[in-house]
Amino acid sequence: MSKRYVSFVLGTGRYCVPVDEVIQILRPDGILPVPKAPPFVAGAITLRGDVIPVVNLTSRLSRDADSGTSASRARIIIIRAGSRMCGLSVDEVREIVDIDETKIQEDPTGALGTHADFILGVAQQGQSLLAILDLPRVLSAGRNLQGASPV
Amino acid sequence: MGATILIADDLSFMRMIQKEILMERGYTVVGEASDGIEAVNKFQTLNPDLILLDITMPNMNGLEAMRRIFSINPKARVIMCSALGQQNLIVEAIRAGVKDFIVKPFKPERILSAIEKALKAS
Amino acid sequence: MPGSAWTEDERLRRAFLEEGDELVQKLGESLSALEADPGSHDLVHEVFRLTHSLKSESALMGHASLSGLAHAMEDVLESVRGGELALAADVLEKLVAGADRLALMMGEISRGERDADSDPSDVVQDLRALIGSRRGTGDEATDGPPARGNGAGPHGGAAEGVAPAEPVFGAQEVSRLAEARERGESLFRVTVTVATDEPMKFARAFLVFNNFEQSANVIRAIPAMDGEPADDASYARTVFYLTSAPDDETLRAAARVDQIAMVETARLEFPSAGSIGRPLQEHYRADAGPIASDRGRGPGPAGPPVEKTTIRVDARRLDDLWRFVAELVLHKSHVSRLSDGVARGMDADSIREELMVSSDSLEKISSGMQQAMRDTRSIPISIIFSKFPRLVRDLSRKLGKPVDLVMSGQETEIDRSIVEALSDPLTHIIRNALDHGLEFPEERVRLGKPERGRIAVSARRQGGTIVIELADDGRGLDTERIRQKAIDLGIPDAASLGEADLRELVFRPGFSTKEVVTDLSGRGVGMDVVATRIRNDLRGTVELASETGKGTRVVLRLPFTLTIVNSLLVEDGGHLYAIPLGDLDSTSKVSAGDIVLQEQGEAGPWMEELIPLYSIGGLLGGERTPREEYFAVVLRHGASRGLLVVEELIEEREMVIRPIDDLLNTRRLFSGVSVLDDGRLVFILDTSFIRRDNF
Repeated sequence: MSKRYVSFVLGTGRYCVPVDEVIQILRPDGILPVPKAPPFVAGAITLRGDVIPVVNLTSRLSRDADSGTSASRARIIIIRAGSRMCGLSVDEVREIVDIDETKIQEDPTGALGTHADFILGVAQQGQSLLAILDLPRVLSAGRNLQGASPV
Repeated sequence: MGATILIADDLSFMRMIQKEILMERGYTVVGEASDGIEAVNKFQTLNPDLILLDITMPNMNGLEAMRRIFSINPKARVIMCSALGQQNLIVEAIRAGVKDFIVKPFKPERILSAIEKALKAS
Repeated sequence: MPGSAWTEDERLRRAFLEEGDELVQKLGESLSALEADPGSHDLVHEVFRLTHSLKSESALMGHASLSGLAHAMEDVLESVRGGELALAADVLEKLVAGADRLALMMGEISRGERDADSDPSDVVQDLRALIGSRRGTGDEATDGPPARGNGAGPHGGAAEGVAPAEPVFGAQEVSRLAEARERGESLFRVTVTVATDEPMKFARAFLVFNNFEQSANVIRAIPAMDGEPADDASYARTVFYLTSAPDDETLRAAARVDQIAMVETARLEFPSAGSIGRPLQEHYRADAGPIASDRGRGPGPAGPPVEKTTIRVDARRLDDLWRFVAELVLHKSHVSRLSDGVARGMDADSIREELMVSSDSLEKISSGMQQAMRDTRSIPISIIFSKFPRLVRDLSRKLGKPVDLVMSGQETEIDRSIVEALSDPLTHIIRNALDHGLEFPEERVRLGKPERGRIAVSARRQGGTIVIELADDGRGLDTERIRQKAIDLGIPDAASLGEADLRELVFRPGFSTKEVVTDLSGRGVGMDVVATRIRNDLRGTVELASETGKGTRVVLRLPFTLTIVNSLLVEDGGHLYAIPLGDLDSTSKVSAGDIVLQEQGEAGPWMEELIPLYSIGGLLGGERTPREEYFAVVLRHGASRGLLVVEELIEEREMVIRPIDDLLNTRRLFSGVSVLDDGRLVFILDTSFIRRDNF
């Protein structure tokens, strides 16, 4: 019943995505500019010939940028969602954790605030609360979602 | 009370036989029609659970009547009656949505089992 | 196979012989095993499977009597499986005799003798006698008189004895089957027996057919369901091949209409390459020219090796092309009539209107032709897969590692141009799996695994992508040892790399040297070469998945075709864009003073008239950068024209187009993206916007 997740840091929060969806973890080098992408898209990277969008998670989740972590720890997590591939820029990749699916609950304290839309649920992990990302929603280009509105 | 059935056939003798078979089994024959136009009109006013529709009828044939009946009620239960040699017409009726058919001359069991199955199917 | 001059028929023949040999040999082995252990259901199933494969493959190749014999054996085994026939010594003996005869016949075929030389009807008769068949001979002709349930037991044993030979599916059916499989449906054979006293058997069967069509996709009905039935009685027993998502209970319910005496359903395997009915009658000589020509300056993308030989094409595909050619001719004469009309002073409005219509049709025709042409270029991947049984058998003998090879999706079509480039990497991966992935039998037994290793190879189409998977049940990759090796080699961050990153290391040149790999008990001899081939030459992806001790899976994803488009490269606002030459009329210059603002937007001069004018900034929701003079590209889409002003025209070049993710294309302005040799991105413009605004 438990599933493995890659946990990472974003500002003061901790998040995770299923290990199975993770293809690779890269340093944030070589992000290429893209004309008039939505504000939460940092650009694109090329990986083995594919051109993959990189989502700036800090902006996507409307978190305040928090420079608590050193820039040298910043990474891009390449994930697969359905037939798409996408990069998520994060402040730091932490570790692989096992989460018992029965322990996943809806945001109990409301601590997630405005970006709850992008979160499937949270799980207590030691001292901290780990939020599990809802990847399809994070990656949706829909205009009704914040950050994706046309200029 | 048993299910309500409308019989459409141009031969009164045929209607009589069918009626007897049905009533014996406890069905209610709510009406009879001797041509296609009458069949459609009576279907509309009587709203029977099922209609036995002969293919060869004057004024409006059974196929045309069937189409109009389906346009009144797409879920109508229609059983086509046909003579041997009208297979292509039956196939056309099946394409249009008819759920069963019987071929004349028929044995009483045939018509009863066809009606029973048609009524059971939603 | 470089420089191979085999015709496709010859390739197929060889593939059949190799596989047939293999099957016959395995059949012998399995039968011996069965003699030792007659109670084994698995072995019965295995033997059944082998005869079944032999039956379908030989039927496809036109070896009717061989197929008939295999069919007779299959029927006997079916009865054994169904519990109607006990696997007594005499039954086994007849089966062994059948297998021996099959081997003999295969030998004759491979020596080029006609298979009719060895008439197997004596053996077939013996086999038929075992299940009390109504058929005297094993001829694989069309079904004989339909079986009637004449009191042969409550389940009508009569009909069960004659399990129909699975039909050979045509190209269209195969593609419908492939689609169904993609949708996750199953393939069923439903045999419907009409009550004997039903006077209209065809109509009765048609009623069931009509019901099936509500919840399933009928691939084929035997006898066929279209048109007037020639012989009503032949529908007494109608066999449907259909695909359906729901279970067979739903199918049974659909067939549960009055006057249906019996319904039998069987879930079937989707047909293997063996049953692709490709009547390759037509033959045409084509230059099979490379999609990528070498025009233009610069290195350009190195195209993969391209076969330049005579190719055989399915006649139906040529028919498609002919259809387009016919339409083309029609429109050509229409256009010439119009030009006559101009000479006769026909009014401009109607000429304009008719031209637009023709132009739109021509657009449709040309894209249709492109598609049809692409289809003629595709070929089932079995052309590569068919080499594997022999490769695996030879290696398995040499290494002393018994292994079962399981293949599926051989019918998946790939572009001819990538056959050669793909063949080597796949061979390499299989070789590695045997060499390094699979353990020796003793070790496997010690680990509690089956003694025989297993290698599974599959292919499928997923949208515009071909997915090929090669999996073994060997020892898998030891990622911790890879990590150790990475640390030793001084690879940065090695200590903190994730599983996927570690697996990716295997593709690194230098990392996967023989000595390292053997040591790591993983794969990798030349995995860097495999990766280069797939990623660079074929523009695909390679991924490794592995569980230590359980096995390794290599997943390749390849674009169905390499879409290479000749385009004009332009620059604007610091980004590169490309306009496919097909959408380009000409280039010119426009000075700022000539741009006028009209009700619908800006317009600029072209050939004495004003046409809509666009800028990339404007299309992206911003504004046109003010300049004195612009370069302008005249775009065309159907009869519409539009001016696109840009800062720089760079050059014409060929570009390999990759799909673009929605997140990078929120304005739907691009049809794809391309990567230049220096790593910069080029966005391919979808010029259909000029049409949206124009008319």
